[in-house]
Amino acid sequence: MATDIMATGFMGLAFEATAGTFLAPTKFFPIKSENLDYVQSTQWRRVIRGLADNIGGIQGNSNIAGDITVECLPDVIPYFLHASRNTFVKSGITPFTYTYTPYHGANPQAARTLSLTVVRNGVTFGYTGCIVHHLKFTCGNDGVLWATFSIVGRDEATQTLPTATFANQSPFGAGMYTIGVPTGSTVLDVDSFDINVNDNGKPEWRLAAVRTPQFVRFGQRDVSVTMKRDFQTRAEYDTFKTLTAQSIRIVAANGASANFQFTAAAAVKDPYNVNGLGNQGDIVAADLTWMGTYDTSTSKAYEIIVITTESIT
Amino acid sequence: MAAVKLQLPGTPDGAEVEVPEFGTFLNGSTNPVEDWQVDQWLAQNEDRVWPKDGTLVLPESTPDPAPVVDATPVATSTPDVTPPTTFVIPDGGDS
Repeated sequence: MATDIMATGFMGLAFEATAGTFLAPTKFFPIKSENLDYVQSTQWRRVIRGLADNIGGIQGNSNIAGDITVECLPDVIPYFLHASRNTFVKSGITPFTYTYTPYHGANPQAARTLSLTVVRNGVTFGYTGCIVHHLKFTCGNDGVLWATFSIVGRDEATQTLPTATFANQSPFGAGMYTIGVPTGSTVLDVDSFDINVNDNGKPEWRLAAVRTPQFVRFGQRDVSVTMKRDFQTRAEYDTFKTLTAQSIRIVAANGASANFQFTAAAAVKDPYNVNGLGNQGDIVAADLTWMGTYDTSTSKAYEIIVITTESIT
Repeated sequence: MAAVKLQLPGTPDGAEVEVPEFGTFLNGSTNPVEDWQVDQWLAQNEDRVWPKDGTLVLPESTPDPAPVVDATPVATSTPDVTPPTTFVIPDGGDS
């Protein structure tokens, strides 16, 4: 195989019928980057036997780990959200509304693990038993919404080169945002934001006849939203000092059939950093982080809603 | 005549789908493709052949797993078994 550039690569996915058993991709998606890796914990033999050298290696536990960054396309992100620590309700008929609610157990849902296919220079890598344990949605001042999904999985093997297909969907961009702080009160001073939901997933190995994980699982959940905002009054700053919880909602909408919505119903600001004075021409701004705490009224720390024409069961 | 048929499970029928190097088609449709496009596909899929019925259905199904080969060596000769030793117990007689 000749040398080639990364532009020729592509990715696809499929939900697995049996966790860890590869299925050819049924959905392909454009990516910004990926760094999926087969990780193995080789144990090196540094025993005492009259030699200063490494004597050799002992095969150790192995797993799959890495991140995938994609355009936050409404027809793509539900597949990854299905493989995260969320249950979902599907409603409507083209477009469909998917409402994702976080759950608390350690185990991925049945038939929600992913087979991820990555083609690099025409060589096909098939990653199996993958779950999404960290969701990150990022939007800078350019208005482009990116999603990064952190993956943990079981194994990798070469697969048949698939033929890719790509749905013709538009990404979210400038002019498509409504940000409510608190929910219902639209603010127009947000420069950029990050949404993070980290379920701290881990592979779990056991002493067995294979080196791959017996299962992958979720851990404690950390929810946070970060924004860079113009600093105008003390009102928000004072509620930071009192740790007053508030609801926040970020909506990206591209017509009636393409919508992404994140809500944290009981978000507590900490830290709230008002930028110190420095350059004469800079706007006085503040960097805020909200910690998403469990809301007893809605019984959840956050909620994600996606409206799309994509039909996933 | 070679063709590409689209039946993406999650995408609505009639939605536009791009198949790189073949074109943009509607989901649910079967579309003729040129010989040079088939040749290009074959060049990129060196270990495969174009479907015998002439239509490439996308997405492709998972290939059947390779047959499991029993690696256990087959015995080809009679095992060397030492016959049990026969002990003759002498008639002890009267002692």
